[in-house]
Amino acid sequence: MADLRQDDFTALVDQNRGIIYKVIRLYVNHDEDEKDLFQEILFQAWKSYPRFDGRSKFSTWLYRVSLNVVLTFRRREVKVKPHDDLESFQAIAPDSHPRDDAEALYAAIRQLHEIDRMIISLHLDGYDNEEIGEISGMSKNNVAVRLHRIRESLSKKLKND
Amino acid sequence: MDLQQAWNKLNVEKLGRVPDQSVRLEKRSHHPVQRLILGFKVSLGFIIFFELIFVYLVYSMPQLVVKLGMLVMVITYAAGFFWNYRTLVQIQTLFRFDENILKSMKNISTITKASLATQRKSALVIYPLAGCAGFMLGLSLETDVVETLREPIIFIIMLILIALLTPTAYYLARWMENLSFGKYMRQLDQTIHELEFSEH
Repeated sequence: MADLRQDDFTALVDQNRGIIYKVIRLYVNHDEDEKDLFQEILFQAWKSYPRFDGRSKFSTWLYRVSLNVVLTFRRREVKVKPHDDLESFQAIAPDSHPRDDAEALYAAIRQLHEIDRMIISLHLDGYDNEEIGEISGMSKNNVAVRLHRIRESLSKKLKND
Repeated sequence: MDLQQAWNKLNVEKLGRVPDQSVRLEKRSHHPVQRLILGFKVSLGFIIFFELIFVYLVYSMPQLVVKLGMLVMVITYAAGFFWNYRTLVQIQTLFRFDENILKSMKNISTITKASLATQRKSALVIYPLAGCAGFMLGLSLETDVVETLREPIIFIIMLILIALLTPTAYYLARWMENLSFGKYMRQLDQTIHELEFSEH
């Protein structure tokens, strides 16, 4: 029975593992940290899985667990130097045109505060303010105010770039 | 620049790219709170080990005053066991990641502070008592403890031992705590503060 549950879980995670990698790469860009955090998220998601009641989509639930784990892990292990970002992007996506929009956006997002990174990524992934509020624990109004500031900050960064 | 288009491209080219190997679940954790939980389990194991030693000493020591000293240690360690066990159960109940981020962070902050406080208070009580019991145990090997303690110099030495051990144990525990969790707790509290008060 437990094996079946584990099989269900790994199958679901397998379909949605892009979410875990996305969250990790918003905060770290070292291979070892990436592997460690992936396993940590997987383990904590597995521990929480018995409480998953299907009221929200599995992908939303996994997004929430992944953000929770990454944000509460030791920062020493998730810290990166800002100038590593572009090198890492080019290493992972060597075919991409240098300094294109995606690359510039990644560099700009990586300069944001950790909470702001979470909010903008959820927003750009199509979550509305209410859903972002539910995931983060912030009020809907708070999310709206913060999102406005983040967009302004991103625009400035991207213009200066 | 169209942010949405750039984000979609970023997702495809970098953020959402997945390695070829399939998902393999390894049931181990390096999370700081998971380490606290492990620390509590190890402490409980040590408490049981020392409890057995103290029980043995209560029965085997011939001098009544040493027996009483060991009995105090048995009671103190039993209380320490239940105190630590209760904190461990609380930690395991609250330590979860499927709640909203603010709530999870607050839970982690609360349980980490509570468990560190428990360890600090344990250090404050257990080390001086253990020092005192050890002192009496040492005396009992060669002399009559009651008679020896009647000598002011011996009694003063024991008081000095307690007076030195108590603050030393407390500040050692605080130093270790700060070394292991100080930066982590400051960052966690800062993030909680930002989630709660970012409108202002």
